[in-house]
Amino acid sequence: MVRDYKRRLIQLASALLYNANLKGFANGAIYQGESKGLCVPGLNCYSCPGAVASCPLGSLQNALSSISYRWPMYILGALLLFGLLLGRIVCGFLCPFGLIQELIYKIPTPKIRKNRTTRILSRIKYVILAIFVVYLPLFFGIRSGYPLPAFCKYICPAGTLEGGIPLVASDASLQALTGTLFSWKVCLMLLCLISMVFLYRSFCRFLCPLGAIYSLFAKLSILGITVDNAKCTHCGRCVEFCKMDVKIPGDGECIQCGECRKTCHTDAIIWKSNGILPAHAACKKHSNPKKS
Amino acid sequence: MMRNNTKWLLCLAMLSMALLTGCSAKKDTQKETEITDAIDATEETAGETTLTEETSSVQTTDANDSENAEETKVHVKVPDFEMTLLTGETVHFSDYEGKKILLNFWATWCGPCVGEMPALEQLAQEYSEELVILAVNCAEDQGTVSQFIEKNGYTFPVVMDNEEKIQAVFGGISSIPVTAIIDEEGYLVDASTGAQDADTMYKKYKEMLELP
Repeated sequence: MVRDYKRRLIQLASALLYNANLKGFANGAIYQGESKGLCVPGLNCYSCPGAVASCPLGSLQNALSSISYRWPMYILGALLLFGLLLGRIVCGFLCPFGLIQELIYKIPTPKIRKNRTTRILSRIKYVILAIFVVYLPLFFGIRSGYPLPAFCKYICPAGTLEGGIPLVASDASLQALTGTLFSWKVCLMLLCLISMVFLYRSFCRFLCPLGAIYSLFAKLSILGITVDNAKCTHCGRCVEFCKMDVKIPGDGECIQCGECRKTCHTDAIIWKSNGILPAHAACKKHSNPKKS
Repeated sequence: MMRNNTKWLLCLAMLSMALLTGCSAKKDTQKETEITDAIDATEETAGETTLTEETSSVQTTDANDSENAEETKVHVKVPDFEMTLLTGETVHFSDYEGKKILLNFWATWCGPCVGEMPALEQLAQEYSEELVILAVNCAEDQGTVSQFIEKNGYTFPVVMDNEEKIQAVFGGISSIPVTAIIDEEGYLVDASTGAQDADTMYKKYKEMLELP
């Protein structure tokens, strides 16, 4: 429980850090400082008035669109670094949109538990990654020199919530420019927000291409959750407890929150550490048999 | 161990506080100048007008679905300013007095800007006697812009605005493309934000420029 509280604190702190430019909300303007050249590890829209840095997905799409001019070294390097170091720890600890989903899920309603269908739906995010984040920006960028961040433009509900709505709300001249595309984005965002009430982290599980990217690093990342096979009895309690569509803790669907650790009766779920973080065993439930 | 973690989190919280109070937007977009008001005025009316061209499919998939703007009565003298062209020359805005000016703020990473450029090229070629197109690039590096212009073979003058000085003259440009129409005496008479496809923009700008 203490551990859950700390995770929430880290999520809040990172959300605040990413969006430290609160003044931006007052004057409906996007921050233009030097730090916008860097990207944060989680999903946080560049166009959010509060954002002090860029979104890795937005950066990736724009970089791919400009691939004829320069190689997207920075963003590929950044994603590689975040992936290898953290993997989906970003999802569990460092993503403001993930935090928003967890908070919305707290609204007391009947919930839709994960099942075979949701497991299948969780593959959609890879399709979205392939088409909207990789293919479309590349295709239009190379073929017609037309930069098209397709995921940002047509899908991303985080962008609509954090950037689209605050900016349009505070600027009459932007309001005049909104049309079908904006309506589509708002509808999609509302659909996502509603689904989050009933389905835990629905966007993360089914749609998020950034989660899809980081999930590729699940086994590779230096830090994160893993199962100690020597101790695991394959009872399946952890998988049942977990609200994500995991097969085992630490796989591609795992958001590395660590909440499953308390369900394991043999303390088989540990943080990969190599001495960076102590592989902290949970409180022993039984006393040491050597002492009497 | 728990105390150390709490201290660490507290430090993080304090850092956030410091950032909150310390950070200020580098760009001041307080709409103060007359010119900004003028540009805003043309945009605000864009929403309430009837479609003057029924065929202009406003609901196209381009970003910034902009409705057609009515001619708005704006008449603000644009102050003189220095411009550095892509070629390296330094010129003054007043050098172009006597011709109509279409001043367009753009960037290579901006889809709609790139999409409407063929319209600017066509206007430049067709009306070279009475019109000058000034394409002001927003804070990109020389190499990127040269490569882009060469690749597409555009002939109109390209102005480099690395320090965003020209953007400041027009009240700070927060979203692009923005096109300003200036008459032969150097008065801003119309403006538009956002762009659809090149054909639509060609017709629209021709009308805004009052060209035959």
